[in-house]
Amino acid sequence: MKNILLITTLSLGLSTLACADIAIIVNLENSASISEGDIERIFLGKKSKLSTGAKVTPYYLAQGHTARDEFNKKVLHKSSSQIKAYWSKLIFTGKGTPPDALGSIEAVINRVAKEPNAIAYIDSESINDKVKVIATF
Amino acid sequence: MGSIALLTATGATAEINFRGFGTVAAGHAFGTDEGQDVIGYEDYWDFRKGSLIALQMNADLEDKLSATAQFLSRGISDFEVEMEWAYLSYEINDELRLNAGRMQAPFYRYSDYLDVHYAYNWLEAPDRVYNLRFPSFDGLSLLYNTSIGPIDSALQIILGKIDSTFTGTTARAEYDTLMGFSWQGSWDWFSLRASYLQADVSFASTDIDGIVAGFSSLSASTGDLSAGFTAESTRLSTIDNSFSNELAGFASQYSSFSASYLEIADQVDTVDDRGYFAGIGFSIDWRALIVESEAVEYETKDAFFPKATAYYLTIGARVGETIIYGTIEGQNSDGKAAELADIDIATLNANLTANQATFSSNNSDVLLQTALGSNQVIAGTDTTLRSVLSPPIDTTNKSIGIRWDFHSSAALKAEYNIEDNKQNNSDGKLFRVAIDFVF
Repeated sequence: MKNILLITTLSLGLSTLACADIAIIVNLENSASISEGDIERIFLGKKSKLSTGAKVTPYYLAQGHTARDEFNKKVLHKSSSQIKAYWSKLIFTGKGTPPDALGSIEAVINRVAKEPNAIAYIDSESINDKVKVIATF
Repeated sequence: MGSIALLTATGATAEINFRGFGTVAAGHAFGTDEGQDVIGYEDYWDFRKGSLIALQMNADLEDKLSATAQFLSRGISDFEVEMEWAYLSYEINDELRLNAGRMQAPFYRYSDYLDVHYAYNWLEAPDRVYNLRFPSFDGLSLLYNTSIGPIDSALQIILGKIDSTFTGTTARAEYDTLMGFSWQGSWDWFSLRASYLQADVSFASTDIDGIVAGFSSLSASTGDLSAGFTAESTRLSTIDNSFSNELAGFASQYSSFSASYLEIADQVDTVDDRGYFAGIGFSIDWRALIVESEAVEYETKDAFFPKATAYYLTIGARVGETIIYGTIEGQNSDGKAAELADIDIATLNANLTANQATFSSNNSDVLLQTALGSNQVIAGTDTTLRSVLSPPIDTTNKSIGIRWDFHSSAALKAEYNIEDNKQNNSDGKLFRVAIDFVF
């Protein structure tokens, strides 16, 4: 047991080192002001409108991406399993549905570039000029 | 989790999502007295009681309308499939959502997702509070989510009815005009919750019917005795005026007993009796610290089930993917008998016996012997009937448990629970282990 814990701790440490920052991205046309608090609330389904009045559509990265785990930890301040439990409560009680999860960083960038009111996150190394970065964590 | 797109009659596509959850659990009670259990577990490994699996289907019908159905199969019901949720949901605007159909009413903090064990840290929600299980209700639910400054407020208002047969019995429960609200305010790491629901409650079961019939028959017997004493009092009114008055006094006592038994029968019979459920709770999720607590009180006036109160307090710590917690919980009720008037047959019986000589001198021996014999039967029946009513409850449970998220969609849980039943002076221990998952 002790060994397992030790290995888990080590591997968590390594993945943290290996991981880049998280960038929150929106469409180039999006001029809304979005605070850090807003970002957390949007991705937890607690806020659905931007300061411009537009309905915002958040996208997650699919499970298994290190950027997703990083995002959960740094922005939502929860572990992946806490996030999973959080959405389970809402899904199975008709009180909400989690954002759609996209399979790759490329798919996320393309979706945000196409949808004016989309918001998503990627690792900061994947940033390109198709999208606008509003915050990094 | 899966998703398929269907072509609807109108040609539009409806996206259908399948999701589900389940639990595989085993439990074993230790140190229990003969015939006693701990939270339903006995002195052997039970792999079925806590196990369940559910599948939820959600169809997005577009234009803010969606349909959801949840099928649940429990080990305790021989894995018979029940439809727990089936509702249409309409998103009126960003803050308001109206659901119509079959849903779970928000009695407790965890009522909504009591079966989704994965969504909470305990192996099962604390039993002393959650052992009063409410079936799903049919009706309307309005959800109003809003932010007041830094506070997220979630208000739910419901209206509907519960009509349900208890598992494995022919007993039926009806909650008519079920209405109420729950409110939860969350601020960063702290959240507060309150709920209040009421309904017109009816229970139908052969057990209750038998007890009601028993008390009604006692009302009839004491009524007959009252009539007997009245007749004798009339006969003796010109012969022995003072004894005649005494007999009239006995008649009046029997008459009041008869009225009391009729009232008791009505207090046990449960037909359209107003019941309420009130709950408050809070939770703290701050850094590594987790605190959760709820207190509830429920009562249906003049009904078979007596007033009861219950609470729990859980304190836990989060260490990486592991949560360790301890819970103390309690449930109290004075029992139904305590809510009913005492019928003092013994004193009446003593007064009758004290007058034995006067009965003899007035040739009223037959009446006296009949009364004394009847009193014995009445007192015996009275005791028996009261003993089968809902007994007093004074039970405390203490437990420690662990949750380990060993997988991205599954958690392993173990719990050790010590139950102290002060009412019948018995105690027992329970060890449970479970794997909860979502898909």
